[in-house]
Amino acid sequence: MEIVFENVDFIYQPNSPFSHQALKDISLTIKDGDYAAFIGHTGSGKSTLLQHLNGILRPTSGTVRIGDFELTTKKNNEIKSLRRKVGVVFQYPEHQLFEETVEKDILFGPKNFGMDVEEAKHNLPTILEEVGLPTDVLQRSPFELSGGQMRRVAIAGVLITEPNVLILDEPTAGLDPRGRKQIMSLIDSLHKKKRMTIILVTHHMEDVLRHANQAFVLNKGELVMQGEPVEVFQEEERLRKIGLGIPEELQLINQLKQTLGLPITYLHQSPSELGKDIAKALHAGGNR
Amino acid sequence: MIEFNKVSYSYDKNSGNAVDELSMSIEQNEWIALIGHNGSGKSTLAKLMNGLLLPTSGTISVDGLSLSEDTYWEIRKKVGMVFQNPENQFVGTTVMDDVAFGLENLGVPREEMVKRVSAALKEVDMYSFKDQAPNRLSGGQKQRVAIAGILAIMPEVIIFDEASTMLDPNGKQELLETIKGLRKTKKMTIVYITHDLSEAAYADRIIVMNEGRQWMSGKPREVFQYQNELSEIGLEIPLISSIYAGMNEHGVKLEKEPLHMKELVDQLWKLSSKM
Repeated sequence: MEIVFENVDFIYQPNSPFSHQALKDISLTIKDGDYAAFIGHTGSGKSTLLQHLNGILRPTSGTVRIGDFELTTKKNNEIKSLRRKVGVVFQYPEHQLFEETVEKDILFGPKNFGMDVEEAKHNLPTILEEVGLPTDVLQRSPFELSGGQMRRVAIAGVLITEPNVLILDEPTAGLDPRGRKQIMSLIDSLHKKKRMTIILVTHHMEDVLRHANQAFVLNKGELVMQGEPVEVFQEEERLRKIGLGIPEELQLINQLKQTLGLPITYLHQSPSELGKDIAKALHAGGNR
Repeated sequence: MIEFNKVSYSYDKNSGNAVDELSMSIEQNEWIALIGHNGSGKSTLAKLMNGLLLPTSGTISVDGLSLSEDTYWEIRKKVGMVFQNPENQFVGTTVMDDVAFGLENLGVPREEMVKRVSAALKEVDMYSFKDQAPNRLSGGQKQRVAIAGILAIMPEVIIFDEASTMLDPNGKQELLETIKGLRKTKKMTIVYITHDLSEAAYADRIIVMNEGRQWMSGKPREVFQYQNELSEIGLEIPLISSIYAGMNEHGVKLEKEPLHMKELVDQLWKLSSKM
């Protein structure tokens, strides 16, 4: 599903002394099948923007189109069907698990959306396999699971409603390195195998560089940069000015270029491959 | 400063030990990074250090005082703790009130209190925010105020229990810089719990926990040599260390294992000027 923002403004508590414009004239397109990443520091408008994608918020002015669905200033009664198509995994989703068993928790969405619960139940094994959980967790309490497992349960609870778009807000926060890697590769496989449109919000610039094909940078409610992550991260100075950094490997490449004149291009090398490229460039002598 | 002697702790009888027959010691004025994957026992260990939990078996002593039901109040005054979520730690309506809260609880006289609160806020460079509401601060600033609240009590040890997890990259840097600054001006033992090894690189010594036991202990440079073994227990060495490992395999040898980007770039600069 293609997502298009056209001149979207959003103002919290308009016409009041507390009125605050959180989004200013946002226009952007996320194509069907994109893996888009939103970056910006706390208060940049990221969360407000995301809440427009499944109709939690409606624009104060402008239009948001999600597939055939149009979100304008007017109320729309079909919002529930939109929410089924756009799944959101919030920050620390394990805090929202509440049922006695993992099975009940995952099936809460289908029940809530009035889907065929029996059919959803039938799909449980497939979904569990996708998120990498064994079937024997179904009858366990979600609270007995590890942090990483709970997060998978929360993701399964979104996937079971078969959304076309998956939004993830800081999906790896608080996980250890192994847990992080597993969640990121799970998202990769949903993107590639299920051809889902992925929208990721994160502070981890490394993840944006490695996984996303589009990056959107927000600052004070405005969309200030967009493009392929490697291109966006070229503008180190501009990002620094708005309090954002670039991935460590790109910082290193830039520094080696400036101080030693080593010409190294980032081509999604692994860290040890990058080390090898630096060694080669050093032996070649740079161009001092 | 902190001694563990064959300490075990289990949350309930049916599950295994979260901390298992652990013996170790932390010296005064040492900065320890306590690392391990989720569930490795590192947070349990922290709670045992300040008497939030009492060991199932074994003994713990802090600053010469043996931990028991009679002493845990004394020990909590010696060991302050900064938690993960800065939002959950505030009680005061202003930054200053908040820092004073712990002192009020201890019954410190007002005059002394004002002195200590101001000094603590200056220490973390938050004095100019003293009259602001805590909820208006950034994540990093909130954690600095939480640190001031602990400094005011004048403990011997501060434990940071994954205190950087919810901060953005700037907030993390701010937290680490604050700790570095504290160490310059004060004698202070730091226990910094994290699973980010690039943050652990700042410590004097790293203790790696796995399955409730001390799996390894050593200087950051020593610990980071064990890339493969660490990855088997769910940890990842800092990116710079991985990159250097790749360079090393292809014939670039530096005097010392670089821990940060600056160390790597500076050494490469020296090396290339000799080439």
